[in-house]
Amino acid sequence: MTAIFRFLFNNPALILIAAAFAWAAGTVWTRAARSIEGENEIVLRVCHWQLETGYRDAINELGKDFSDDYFKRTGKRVTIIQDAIPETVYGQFVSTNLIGGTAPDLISVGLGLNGVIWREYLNRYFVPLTSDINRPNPFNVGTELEGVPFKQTFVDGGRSSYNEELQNYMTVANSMHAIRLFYNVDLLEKLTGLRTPPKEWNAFLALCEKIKSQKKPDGTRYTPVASSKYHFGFGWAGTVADPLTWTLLKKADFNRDGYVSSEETFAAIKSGRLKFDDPAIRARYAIITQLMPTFPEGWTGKARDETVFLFAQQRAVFIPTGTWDARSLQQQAIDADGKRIFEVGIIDFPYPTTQDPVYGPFALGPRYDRPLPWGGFGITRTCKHPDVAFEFLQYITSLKGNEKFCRIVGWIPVVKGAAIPESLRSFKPTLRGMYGNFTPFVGGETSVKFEQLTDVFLAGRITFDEMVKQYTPAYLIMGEKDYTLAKRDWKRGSLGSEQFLVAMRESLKTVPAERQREMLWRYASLTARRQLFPTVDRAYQVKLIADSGKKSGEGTVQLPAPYELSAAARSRAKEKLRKTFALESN
Amino acid sequence: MWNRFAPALACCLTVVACLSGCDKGEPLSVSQHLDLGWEKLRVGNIDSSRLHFETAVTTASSNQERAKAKFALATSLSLPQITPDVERARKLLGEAIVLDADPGTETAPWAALLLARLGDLRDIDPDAVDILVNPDARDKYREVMTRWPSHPAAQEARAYLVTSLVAARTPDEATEAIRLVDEFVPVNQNSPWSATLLGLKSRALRTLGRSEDRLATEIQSLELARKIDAAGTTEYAGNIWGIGIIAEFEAGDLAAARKYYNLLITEYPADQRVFNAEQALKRIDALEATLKQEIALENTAKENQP
Repeated sequence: MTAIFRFLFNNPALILIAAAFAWAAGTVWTRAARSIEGENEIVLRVCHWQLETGYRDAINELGKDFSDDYFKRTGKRVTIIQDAIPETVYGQFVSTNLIGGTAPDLISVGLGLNGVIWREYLNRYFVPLTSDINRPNPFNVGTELEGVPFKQTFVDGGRSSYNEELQNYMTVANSMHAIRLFYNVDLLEKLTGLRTPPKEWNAFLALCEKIKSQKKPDGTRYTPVASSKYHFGFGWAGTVADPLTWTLLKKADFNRDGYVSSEETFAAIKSGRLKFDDPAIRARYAIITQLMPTFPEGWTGKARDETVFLFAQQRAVFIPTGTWDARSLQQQAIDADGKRIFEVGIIDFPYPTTQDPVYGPFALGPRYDRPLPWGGFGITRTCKHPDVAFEFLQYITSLKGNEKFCRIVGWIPVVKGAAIPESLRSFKPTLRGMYGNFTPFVGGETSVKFEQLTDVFLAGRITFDEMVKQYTPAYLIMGEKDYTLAKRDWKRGSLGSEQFLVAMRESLKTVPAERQREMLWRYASLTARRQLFPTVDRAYQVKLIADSGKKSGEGTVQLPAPYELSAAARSRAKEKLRKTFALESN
Repeated sequence: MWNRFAPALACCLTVVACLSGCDKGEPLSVSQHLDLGWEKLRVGNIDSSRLHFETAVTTASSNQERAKAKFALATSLSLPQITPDVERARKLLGEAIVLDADPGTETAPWAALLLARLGDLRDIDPDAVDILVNPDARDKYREVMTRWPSHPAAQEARAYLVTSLVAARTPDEATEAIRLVDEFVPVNQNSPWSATLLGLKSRALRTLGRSEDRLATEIQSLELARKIDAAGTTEYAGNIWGIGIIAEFEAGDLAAARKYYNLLITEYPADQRVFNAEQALKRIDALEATLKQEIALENTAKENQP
């Protein structure tokens, strides 16, 4: 016995490991015990990666409400147990449990595994929701959404729930996200006397200048905007710089579908209709150049957490991030005793006005704010109560349920008409606005070159003009290779599509008669979108790019401007108006 | 101590492993193998699908079953990018057509269609990246249409044939494509392929420069699609936007353009192109004002003529 004690005394690490094991085993045992259903109890295990403040509280709170409601109707209670798994191990956790047959009843889908694997899992381990999602949500009775098919109650019409490969609705989203500029209200007031920053671009820059000119007690200067490369990408480039390139449509959207594809940019650059120093692209880089001095020194090398720390320590006034961080940032502004250290404000990004002397010609309206449905839960096939699990999803996405859920978590509701809490009003997406049309690379080689030059530009080592000068010749040479590879990939892709479509067509034979017509339509329209129209549209694109390289006399052939009215169309329009005039005067 | 327990533990583990590996169920039927194989193929699990199909081919007991199995195996051999065996697939498809040649056949038309598709998908040199369709495959599509005219495979073959013709972008082939659409759509209004065929016709009309007919065809295609798609499973924002564009820039029909831009704004308020549609409406207002002014001036000039 003494020998054992001596051995343990000499090996404290073993004791530590044993203690950790005992704690883990105890936790697993307790959890397993909680999962055992009582006589009048139903247990639902819910798995997600949302460790942000508020999310678990929201699930618990709505779970209790749902349980009360369910109890009134059935005499049974519903207990919700959450498995909140860190992002880094989420994929492994889900895989292990799905394959092992021990999966939670509801799993948040989309993180930690690639799309093909998720698709395979959805097909094999999840319950399709198509038949239920077309029926009205019973928890919307007495509201404006009463009688509306469940999928139609979502802001995106349920599109995010639909899996095209599986031809089924597989998940139910519970919130939306948007990206905004967060700021330290008290620090802003202390440094500038303002509690609300200006929305106009130049006024915002002037404010940043003022912030930067002031020193902290330790003698170092304040940072106007906490930013890393991560924050820059989605926070600034996507929201402030990219929309300025909306007007590139007029020069490069040759198929006039409303978007400039990388192939269209290639054709436009090759033909000389567009140049990389186009005023709209120049404006994009000019605004980035103006922004960079407001960031901390060495910002391109900073990690995401480092940047959040800078904001939490009150060394920076602003930080761009998404709604998923809203509650967490607000928590950082509260001390251990629950006292507020500083107030967190939220605004939309500052933006140039149409009167701006530099950006005015490109800032023709607000920026488009893409709503991002989030948190889609799927029901696993091992779920003992799939009907109750689906009811729970309907409960948290009912008009009132979703309002409450999002109020607690601090996110944007995904249900039509659900009120956005006052503190989140600035998150309400702007659905009418400009979006980026700058697609500067064709494929892998051009992408690497562009990223290399962008890094050097962001580090302040080359100017925009130098970047264009280096990139254009490389783009024209590498672009040809990339374009050839893209065409080859497209051909390979069409084989994959055909394989999927033939298998889908076979599966229609087992579809019930009442759904045959609908499914045949889906099959035909999917075939059209994947195989038929793309073949024809690609043929036009091949011609477009071939034409863009043709030489005519001294210069390259100018492709027609996509949004210029042809003489024939103008004359037809005039003729029609003339007839209307004639009718009116008669 | 360990020496004593180790063999016992190994034995236990072996027994458990054997038990868990035992196949306790009945062997799968041919149709079950086929169903599982198709499911695997749909999600891209090629090897597993081939195993099921190979088993189905060897265990099939009737000609029809064998034809189905051969068609399935040929699909899994010919379409995947990984380890294809196109020659064996063609042989299997030929056999499937012969095996299932009875009237009321189910598999033969699909096998013939896949043979035609292989002409487009496999018979073009992979390095000829600008060649998207193979004119030699067209006769095979026509064969499906004439041999099994009332079979669904014939409708699909027509869609691929029209695609092949339109993608050639020549006036003759575009005219032939339009003829193929016009002989089908009026008598097959409920076919799931009619709206698609009209969409292809619209592209053929573009080749011919018949912009007003193109606008009418696009509108007809949209209306037909929405009629067939009663459950509203498809999104039409792109079609509506496209009609506005064709009306404005090709047909010069400003009233139609205005109507469809407004439709996009009201039906798809979250679509990115809503801002573009608003800009287009302003553009049309400005253009209309200019044109009205020009017409007024021209009218005045006419009136002032002696």
